Amino acid sequence: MTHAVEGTLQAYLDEEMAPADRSALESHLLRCDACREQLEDLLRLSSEVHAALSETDLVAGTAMALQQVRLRHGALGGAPAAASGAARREAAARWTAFGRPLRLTPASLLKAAALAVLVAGAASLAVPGSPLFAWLRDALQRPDAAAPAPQPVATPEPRLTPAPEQPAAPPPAGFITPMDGTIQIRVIGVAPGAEIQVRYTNEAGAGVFPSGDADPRYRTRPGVIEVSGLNSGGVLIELPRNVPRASIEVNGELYLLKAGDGWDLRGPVQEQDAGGVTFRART
Amino acid sequence: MDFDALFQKLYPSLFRYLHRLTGDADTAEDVAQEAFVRLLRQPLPEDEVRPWVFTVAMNLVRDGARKTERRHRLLTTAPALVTPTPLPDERVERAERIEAVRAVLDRLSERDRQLLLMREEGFKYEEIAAVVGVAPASVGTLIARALRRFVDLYNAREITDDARS
Repeated sequence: MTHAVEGTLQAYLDEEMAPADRSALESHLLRCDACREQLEDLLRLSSEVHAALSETDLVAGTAMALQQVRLRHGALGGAPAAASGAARREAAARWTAFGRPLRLTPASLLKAAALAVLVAGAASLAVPGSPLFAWLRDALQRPDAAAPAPQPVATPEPRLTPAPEQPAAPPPAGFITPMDGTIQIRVIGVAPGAEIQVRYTNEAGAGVFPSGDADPRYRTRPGVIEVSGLNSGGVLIELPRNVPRASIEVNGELYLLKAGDGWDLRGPVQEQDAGGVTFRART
Repeated sequence: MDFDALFQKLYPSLFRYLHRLTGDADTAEDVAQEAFVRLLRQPLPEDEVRPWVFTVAMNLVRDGARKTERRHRLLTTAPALVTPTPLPDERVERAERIEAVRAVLDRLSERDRQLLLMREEGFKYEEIAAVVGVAPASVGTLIARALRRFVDLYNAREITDDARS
C-alpha cells in the first residue's frame, strides 16, 4: 500500500485537491489507519495554531477605521483615479492577481466531524453504498468545484493624479473610546504658543479636532490616540467628563490627568471654566 | 463597487492578518487603512479587491519595516501616564499566552509566517505560492511543516516556563 504524503493530506484538509484525486485519497483513507492518524495529527496541528493565533487578535474597530479612511482620503484631495487599461496591463510584472473569490477557512470543524466518523466507523464507511459513505462524501464536497477560475488580471498600484479644485476641508478628526475605563491622548509636535482646548462632554469617547494648517496623522490602539502633524495649528480635544481615568500629554509633557472625579491640570492653563480648560503650549 | 460594504467585509480580515504578521496594532491599523485609502483612488472590480488590498498592505509592511520599528520604539518608551489598575490573574495568563504566540511567530521564518497567516485568511494555495515564491504543488508540504514548527516552538516555550516556575 502506498501511503499519502504529508503535503497531499494537508492539501486535502485545505480543500486544494482536484475531485478525482480527492476521491482516490478518501478511498485510501478508508483502508489505511496510518494515513488517517496522520490526517488527524495535521488537523490537530491546524486547530492548535488557529486557536493560538486567535488568542492574539484584537477587535478591528471597523466603524472608526472606515471613518479614518474617509477622512484620510478627503485630506488627500479625494478624487478617485480612473484605472486605464494600459496602466493595468503595464504593471503585470509587479505582482500576480489572484482573481478568484476567496473563501474563509476553516472547513476544519466540518473536516473534524467527518474525520471522527471516518476513524470510528471505517468498516461501515468501506461500503460505497452505505448512507454514512454518502454523507461523508457530501460533507467533504468542495464548493464551486466546477466553477472555472477567472483569468488573472494584473492591477497596478494606484498612481496619484492631480486633485481637482476643491474647497478647503477642515483637517480630519480622530476619535478614541476608553479601554478599561482609561483614555490617553498624546499630542506631538505642537507649535509653541498654540492653543490646546479641552472641552468636557457627555460622549462615551474622546475626539481630537486639529485646526488651522494641521495635516494630522493619527495612531491608535485601544484607549490610546496619538496625533502629530499639527504644524502651526491648535487642537480641540473633547474628553468624556465621566471617564474614570484620562490623560493628555503635549510634546511629551503631562498637561491633564483625571483619576476619579478630579481634574489635575498640570499644563500651562490659559483659561478654564466648568466646561473645560484651554492650555497654551509652552514656548 | 460598494466601498463601505467591501470595507466592512474585508477590513477585519486584513487588520487581523496584519496584526498577526507585525505584532503591532498601530502598524496594522495604519497599513490596513492606507491600503483602503489607495483603493478609494483606484476603483476595481469587486472580485479583485481582496487580493489587491492584501498585496498593497504586504508591500507597505515590507517597505515600512524600518519606520515601523522606529515608531514602535517611540511609543513603547513613552512613559505610562495613567497608572493601570492591577490585572486579575486570568488576564495576566492571557497576556502571557499572547506574548508566547508572538515570540513563536517572531522565531518562524518570514516564509513560514506568510504561509500560516495567509492560510488562516483563506487564501488559496496558488495565491500563497505567488506571494511566498514557491510552486503551488509544494504549498501543502510547506504548510504542514510550518504548522508543526509553530506547535513545537510553542510547546517548547511552555515547557521552559513550567521549568522556571
